[in-house]
Amino acid sequence: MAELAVIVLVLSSVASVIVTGFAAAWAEKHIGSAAIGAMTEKEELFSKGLVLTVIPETIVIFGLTVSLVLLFVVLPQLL
Amino acid sequence: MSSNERMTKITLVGTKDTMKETIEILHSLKIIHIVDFKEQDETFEIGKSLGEVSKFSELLLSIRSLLSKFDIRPDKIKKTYSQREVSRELEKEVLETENVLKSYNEKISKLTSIIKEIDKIKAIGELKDIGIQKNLISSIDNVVSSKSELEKQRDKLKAQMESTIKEKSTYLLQYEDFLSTEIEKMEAPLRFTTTKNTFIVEGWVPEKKYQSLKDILKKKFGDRVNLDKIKYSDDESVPVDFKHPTPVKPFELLLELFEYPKNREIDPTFAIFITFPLFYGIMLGDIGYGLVIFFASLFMKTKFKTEGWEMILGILEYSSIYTIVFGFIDGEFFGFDIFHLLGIKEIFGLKMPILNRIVDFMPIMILSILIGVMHVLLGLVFGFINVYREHNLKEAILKKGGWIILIFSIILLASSLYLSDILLYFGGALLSVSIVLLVIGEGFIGLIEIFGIMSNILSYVRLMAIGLSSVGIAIVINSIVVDIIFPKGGIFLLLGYCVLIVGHIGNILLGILASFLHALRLHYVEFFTKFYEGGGIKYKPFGI
Repeated sequence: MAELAVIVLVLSSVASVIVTGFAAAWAEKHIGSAAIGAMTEKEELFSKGLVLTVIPETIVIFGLTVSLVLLFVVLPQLL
Repeated sequence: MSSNERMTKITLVGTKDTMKETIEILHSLKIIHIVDFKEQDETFEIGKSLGEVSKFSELLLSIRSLLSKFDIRPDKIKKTYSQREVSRELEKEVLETENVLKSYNEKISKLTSIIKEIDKIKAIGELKDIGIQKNLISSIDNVVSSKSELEKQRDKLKAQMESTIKEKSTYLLQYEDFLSTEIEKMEAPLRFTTTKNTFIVEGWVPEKKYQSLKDILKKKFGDRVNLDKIKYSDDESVPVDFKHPTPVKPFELLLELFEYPKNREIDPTFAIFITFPLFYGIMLGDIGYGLVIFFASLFMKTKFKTEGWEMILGILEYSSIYTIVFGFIDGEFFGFDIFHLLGIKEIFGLKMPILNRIVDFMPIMILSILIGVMHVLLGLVFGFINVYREHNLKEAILKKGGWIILIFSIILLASSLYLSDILLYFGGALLSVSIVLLVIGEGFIGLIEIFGIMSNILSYVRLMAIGLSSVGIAIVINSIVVDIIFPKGGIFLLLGYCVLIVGHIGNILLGILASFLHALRLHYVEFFTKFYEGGGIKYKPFGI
């Protein structure tokens, strides 16, 4: 039973990085293309576009945090 | 902290015959920020420019085209001209210079094309064996031999042109400067309101300088020009004249990218000056990278002299100092564990490195969240002061006080896990107080916002995460080179160094960008949303 829990935990920590990574990339793709579109109209928007583009990176940062907590805080308690 | 100058809105009304002199005075004082007049009707209309602007601007255009064509850069312009000199003479001289330079240019390009032709003919002459007539060959040889003569002439012309440019450049630069200010003055009435016999200027001046401006105008024109303070509504954009000490100055750029502060709002530049490089340093944290960025920005400062570049490089310079400091704390030098490699175990009784970012990510994560709590709390305190200034204490407590108490209750609840259970009750009590305040202040939607503020605080985990990824890449580059490529020896050593250099340059560029943007984001999204409204404009006094 404990083994199954460990496997599930490791898999979830893997999934949390992969899925949030894809989510962040997907969001950034849309924001990035919109920002480029806005920039062709108005070149001063470059800096604002750049900042907006990194905003969804929060998703993957949360994912990374969750995975680290799972691996290094929760996992030792199971073993 | 809000040491910026207070602005007063003014109107200046005068009779039209004094307009020219008034513009002259305003231009030399350089204190009035003119608000352009836009809506005209039957009585009020936009003024007409003084004098022949079109002629002046044509002249300016031709000077500028000369300057850019012959690559003349403004160094230090000495103002040696007097006002009288602008006239027909100036026009004549500009035209003359233009013609002289043009003729030089034409001659040189003609000679160049002839020299090219000769080269082609020379190629024909080399085909002697196909049986070209002998006298033709000799004439070709003749032409070819004159090539060096022509080249000499071309070089001479070039030298002559250079000396003419040198001789005329200071003069051209001076007049470019002079004409552009002159045109600015002539076109000033286009920003005024005029009626049949009067003109009205609307604008802003620093409150301290209002009285002296009034006195100057009174002395000069008596009753014919009148200056008055007028009232303005809260939602008008007031120009902001920052008065920051030089170290803080570059960080105004970050406000410019966002929005300038409103009139009575707290100016956050000083807070950014402290926190921005700190966040940047925590994220990048590497002695080597910090040194590279520091010297690169010092070097670029000598190359790029525009205001925007100077600001951005200034920010990078301060941030790189923090990066070096945190590099010592993390014990990293281009990703290598420097203290471990040098065999240094402790300095002044402190275990070195103080925090290894790969092993000790948990403490760094907790530290990041603590920093987040402090930063969000600072934002809320600023917000409290802003609301208090704009409305009253009750409003401030309802709008921002609830959030501040909420953060304190979260701190108490979290620390009760580690300290004692009594804190749990205090925390719970504070939490209920804050929830009551939130519901009164913002309605039930305020309760949903609690999750927003939690995610704001958790967002500071990126201080750890971005750093971890940056170290990760550096370590991967190092271990590929040291463990895989170097042991093969021979030519692979060279390859190893290439990989090291390219890899670290890439990682530095990535680090500069990622750390900058994420530090910026923490300020714009997490910090500013707590207090900042913005809506001011940059103070651009007439005459600068």
